[in-house]
Amino acid sequence: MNAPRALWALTVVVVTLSAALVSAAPAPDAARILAPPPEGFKRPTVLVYPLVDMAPLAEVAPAIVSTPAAQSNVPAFDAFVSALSRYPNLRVVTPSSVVSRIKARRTWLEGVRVGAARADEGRDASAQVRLEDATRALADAARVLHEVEHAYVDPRAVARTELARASTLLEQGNALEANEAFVAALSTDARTRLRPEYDRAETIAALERARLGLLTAPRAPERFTRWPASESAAADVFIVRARHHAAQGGEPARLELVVVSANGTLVPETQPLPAGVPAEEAGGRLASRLFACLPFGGAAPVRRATREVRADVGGAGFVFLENPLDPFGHVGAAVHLTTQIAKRVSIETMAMVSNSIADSSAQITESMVTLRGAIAPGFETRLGGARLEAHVGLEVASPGAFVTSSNVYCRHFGVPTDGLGYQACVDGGGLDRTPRRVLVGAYASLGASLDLPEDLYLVARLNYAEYLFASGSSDLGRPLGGALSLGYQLR
Amino acid sequence: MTRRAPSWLRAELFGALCLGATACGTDRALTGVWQQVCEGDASACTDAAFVYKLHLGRFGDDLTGLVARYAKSGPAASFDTLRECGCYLVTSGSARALTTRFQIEPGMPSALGCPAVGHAFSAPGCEDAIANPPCQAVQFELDGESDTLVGTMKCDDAPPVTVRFEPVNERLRRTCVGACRNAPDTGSSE
Repeated sequence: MNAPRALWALTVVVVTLSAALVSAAPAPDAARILAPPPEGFKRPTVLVYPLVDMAPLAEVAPAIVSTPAAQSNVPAFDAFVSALSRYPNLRVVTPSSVVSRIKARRTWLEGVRVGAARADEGRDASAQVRLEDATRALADAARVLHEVEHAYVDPRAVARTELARASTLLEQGNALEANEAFVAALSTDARTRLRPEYDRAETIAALERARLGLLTAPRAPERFTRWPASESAAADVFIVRARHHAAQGGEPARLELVVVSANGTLVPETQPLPAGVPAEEAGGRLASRLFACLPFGGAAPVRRATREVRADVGGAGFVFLENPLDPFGHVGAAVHLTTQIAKRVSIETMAMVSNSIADSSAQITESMVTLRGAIAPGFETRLGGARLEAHVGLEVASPGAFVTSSNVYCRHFGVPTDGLGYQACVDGGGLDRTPRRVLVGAYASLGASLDLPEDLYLVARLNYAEYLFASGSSDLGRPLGGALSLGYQLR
Repeated sequence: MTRRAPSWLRAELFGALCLGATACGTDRALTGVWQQVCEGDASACTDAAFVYKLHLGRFGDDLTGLVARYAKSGPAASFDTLRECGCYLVTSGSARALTTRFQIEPGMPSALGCPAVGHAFSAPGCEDAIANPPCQAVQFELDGESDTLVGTMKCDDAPPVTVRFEPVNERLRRTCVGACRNAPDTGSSE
């Protein structure tokens, strides 16, 4: 090989390898993060609560606005929600949807009704100067309304309730608790104010003191960082609550945010909103930081059916309806194993050993030991502490040798086999012997069980089989019987 | 001989539920040991030389078993084994409704299950009774089922006499061998 040719081949190899390396290179992190999650990906749910705008706290007489609670007037917060929603691995529930979620809870409507009623009672009591009753009723009203998170649906109404409570407490002379109630009112709706033409001067002054105190030393109410009692706890659900603070004393405005998880974990975040920084940028940064502290999600957990296994043992009996003699019984013991493979689907496995009892004319001269086994899928349903089940499947049975005699001497004295005994049993004892055989057929069972303490249960079953195949001639069939068993529920 | 399941298995199985209600009512009433009672109005006892113990087995309408005969030593009945004087197969047995009929045949060449005449029984007068049986056949017709069997016993063509039997808690005999001392049970045909 000459030099130019080798150089050419080397070039081809390098180019090919480079192309292969480029094609095999991992995608950038940003692309991977923003790529749609694979099918079955379990996304963490992020409930972004409506922004609590504390900025009006700085205003002496803020304008009363009528914007819905779920709608913020802070572009950076809207940008934050928008940016967070773009992460495909998160299921972000926007503030308006959170409000709908709150209102959809069964407890909300009842809570609002009770809260409003108690608030009315409190105001009436206050008007009648029954101050103790008034504070109690208003405290009840505020507590109930906060419990059902009505403050995110109608903050003004909840704040007015707190304000009424504060006023009543003040009238009672309880300035300390009154101040806390004023703070609660302002923390719920920072636009809460009193009117000089209607309200007492000392009450207005107390509210003003609370407002200025809160402005100087902002503090979030305890419920701001608490998992709501009305929200069911889930490991992959997170609540984001945010408050907006106006610029104060040289400090820029800021978004105060907290991530609350059901297990009590808190992640506080603060995003300054200096003038000149676009809202999208501030919101994006906050979303990025929040994204980093939230779990990424993962494959959806495989839903496993509850594989409940129940084992019971008890007495069993049956009668061959198809039978050359009068029906005679078989009694024995049965073991049942029932495996629940889905919510209402189970497989019953049955094994039974039984012995015949004498027929009415005692023509059976030998006890007949019968073995039965069945496997049958079916359905079951629970009714309180009881369970009903029905299974249909396959049975394999093996009745023992069926030996009968019509000779009364043989039946009483037995067949002389050793040279002794009564020769009245003649002609081989008039015995009719059918050897053990194997029968295969359809099996059906109905059962009802009753739960007992300690995972025990009592179960009664009826079963029937129709044999379709016999290993030899058989004049026994259609066993109809039942079993009563005591069982234990394994998990 | 009827084969039986092991006793532990039988105990287990019979301790279990008996759900086949129709099959639980095997018609085995009368099966057991019945002993002749001489108290009261039982004329057969007063002058009779023998009393009887019935070892019956009932199978629906069919009846069989053994009848043991005992020589009397006085007016009262005695069922001492030393006084046993004959053991006979129940033949022509039937049990319908509450009436039971059967017979024994002391006049047959030998009592079923026993050796030759006179060899077995040592009670006074027994050898003679076996050698010269007072009846060729004894027919029983009894009424009752559980507590008492009352009816008649008829020796050949003689007038029937009243007899009464009551159940006793004894093991049901299915062979005469025990009564036929010093001799194997060679059996005999009807």
